[in-house]
Amino acid sequence: MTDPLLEIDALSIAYHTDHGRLSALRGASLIARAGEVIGIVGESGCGKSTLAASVINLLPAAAEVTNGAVRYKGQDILSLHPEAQRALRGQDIAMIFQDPMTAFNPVLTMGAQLVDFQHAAQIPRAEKLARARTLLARVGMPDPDLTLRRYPHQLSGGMRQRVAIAAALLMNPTILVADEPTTALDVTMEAQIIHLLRDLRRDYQGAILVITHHLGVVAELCDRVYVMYAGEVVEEALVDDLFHAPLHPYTSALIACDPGHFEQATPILPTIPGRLPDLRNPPIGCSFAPRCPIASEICATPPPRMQISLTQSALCHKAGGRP
Amino acid sequence: MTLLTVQNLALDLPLRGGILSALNPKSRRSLQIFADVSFTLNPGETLGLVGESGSGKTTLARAILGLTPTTHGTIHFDQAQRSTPADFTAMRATTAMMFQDAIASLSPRMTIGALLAEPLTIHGQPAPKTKVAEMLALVGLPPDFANRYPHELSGGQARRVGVARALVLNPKLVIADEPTAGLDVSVQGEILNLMTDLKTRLNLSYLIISHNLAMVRHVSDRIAVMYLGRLVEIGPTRQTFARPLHPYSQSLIASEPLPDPRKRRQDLAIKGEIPSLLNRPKACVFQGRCPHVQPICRTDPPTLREISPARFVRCHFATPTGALS
Repeated sequence: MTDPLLEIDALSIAYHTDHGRLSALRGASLIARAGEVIGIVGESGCGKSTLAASVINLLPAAAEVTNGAVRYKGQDILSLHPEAQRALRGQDIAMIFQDPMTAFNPVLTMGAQLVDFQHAAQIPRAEKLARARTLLARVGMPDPDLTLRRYPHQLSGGMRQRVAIAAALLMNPTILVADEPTTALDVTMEAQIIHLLRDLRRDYQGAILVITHHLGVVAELCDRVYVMYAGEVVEEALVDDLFHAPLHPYTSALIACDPGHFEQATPILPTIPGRLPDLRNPPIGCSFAPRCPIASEICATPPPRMQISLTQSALCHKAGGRP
Repeated sequence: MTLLTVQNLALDLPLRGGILSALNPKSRRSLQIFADVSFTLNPGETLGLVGESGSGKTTLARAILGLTPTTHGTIHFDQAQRSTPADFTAMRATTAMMFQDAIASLSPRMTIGALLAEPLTIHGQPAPKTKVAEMLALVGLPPDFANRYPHELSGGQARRVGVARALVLNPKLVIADEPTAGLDVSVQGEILNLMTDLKTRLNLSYLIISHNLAMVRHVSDRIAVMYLGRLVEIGPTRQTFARPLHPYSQSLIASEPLPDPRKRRQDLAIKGEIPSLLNRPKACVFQGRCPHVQPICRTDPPTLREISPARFVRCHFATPTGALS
C-alpha cells in the first residue's frame, strides 16, 4: 500500500461559545491515499464540516485544536506558519463548497476569477486563461470561451458547480475536498455532477474527500467511508461493507432511515428516536448508547475501536457480535 | 366527490419592457409560469407533486390557495368555485399551507403560543390557551413550548410547529411545500410519520410538493410530475414508480442515487438541464432533453391524455407499457 497523502490523527477540536466549550471533534482519525474517493458521512452536528475545515485549515477563530494532528505527505499542516499553509491551500489542497451560488464573486467574470485563482502560478495570463478553458471543457461546460466571459448570475446552479469543480482543479491539487457538492442541486443535475466526479477520478492522481449527509451520494461515488456521530468517527469501512455489513448500530440505523432504501412504499418510516448528546458536556461512555437499540450497561464505559478486518472498524462495545 | 378540482389553470406574468413596449401594447411580452394544469384531489388522499427547481411547483401551490393570481382556468374546492379574493379568504379557513423554510416561516418576535393562536385570530375565531396546548400535544411537543421563540427550536421542532399551525383551523386540505427539506434522515421520518398519522386521524388531504422522489414515494397515493410549467404525468404512486410512462419521469426516477453501491448508475439517464422560462421550447416542453424526440414533438404540443385507467401522460409516444412507440 502507498503512503497516505493525508492523515488525520486523533484530532480533537473545540469551539469556544457563549454557552461554554463545545467539543465538535473528539479524536477523529482518517487516512486518504492517492486515487481514493473517501466519503465522510453523518447528520447535522456530527463534526463532518469541522473535519473538512481542518483539512484545509480554514477553521473559524473560535475553534481550538486540543489534540491530534493533520498530516499532509507526512508534514503536520496545523503547526505550519500561516504563509506556508496559504501556499498549500489551493495548490495542494483544494475545496469545492456546498453552495455554488455564493462560491464566486458576483461582480467579476468567471474568466477573471479563474485567472485570479492561479495567482501563485508563475505563468503568463494567456496561459492561465488557456488552462481555465481546458478545465472548463474537462468538466463538461458546453462553450468554455463563452463561460469565461459570463458572470456568475448568468449560469445555472449546476453549471456554477461545474465551474467550481474546474476552479478547484486549476492548480492540480493532490487533495480535493468536496463539501456537500450536490446538496444544492436538483436530482438530474446531482446525477450529472456525480458522474463528472466519478469520471474525473480516472485521470486524477490525488485523493477526493466527499463530505455528505446523503447515503445515495456515498454509495454512488465513494470507495471508503467514515461515518461520524457526535464528533467521533464511529465506523470506517469499504463502501460495499458499509451498506451490506455495517458494524456500528448507528450506521445500520442511518441506512434503515433512508427512504431511498425501500423498494416498496411503507406506511411508517423508521427513525432514530432521541437526540444528539450535548457536546458541551460529552458523555464518558458511548455517545450513541442512549439511542441505541442494543445498548447495555457496558456501553456507559468508553467504547473500544473494534477492528474486525484490515478495512473495517467501529467504535462500539458490541461490534463484531460481542454480547 | 372530489375535494379539489383544478382545470386548465395557467399563469402568465407580464415582462417589464422598455419605452417601446409601453407605447405599443402589442409588443408586450409575458412569461408563462405554468399552463394547462388540471388535476383532482379526493378527500383523504395525498397527491405528491414532484419536479425540479423552476418547474413551477411552488407557484402552482400558491395559486391554488389564491395567494398568486392566475390568468386562466378554474379552481373548485369543496363543491364551490373559487375565483374572487373573498372566495379564497373563505377557502383558506379550511385549507392550510406549510411553507418551505420552517424556521423562516415563523415570525421571530412571536412566541410559539402566539404563532399557533394567530390563524384563529385572523379568521375571527376564539383562540383559547387550551387550544394552543391541544395543538402542541397533537404534534408531540411539550406544553411549555408555548412560551418559546422560534430561534430556540431545532429544525425538526420547527417543522412540528409548522404542522400544528397548519392544523389549528381544522383544515380539509394541507399543502406542504418541501416538508422535510433540510432535515436529517432520522428526523425526516418523524415528521412524515406524524403527517401520515394526523392524516388518518383527522381525515386530511395533502398536496405534498417536493423534489425528493424517495420521500414522496412513501407518503403519496398518487404523484404528479411537473416539468417547466406542465404536468407531464399523473398516476398512482406505485405504478408510476414501477413503470413511469413519460420520458421525463423515466429519467427523473433513473437519476435518483440509490443507497446501494451494488446498484450504481452506469449511464446518465438525462443530460442537459431544465431550460429557462424565457426560452420555453415550443410544442413539447421536454423536446430539448428527450432521448426519444421526433419531429412532431417540435411542432405539435402533446396533451395530457389518459392512456390506461387513472394514468395520465403528456407525450405523443407514451404507451401503457412504458415503452415509447
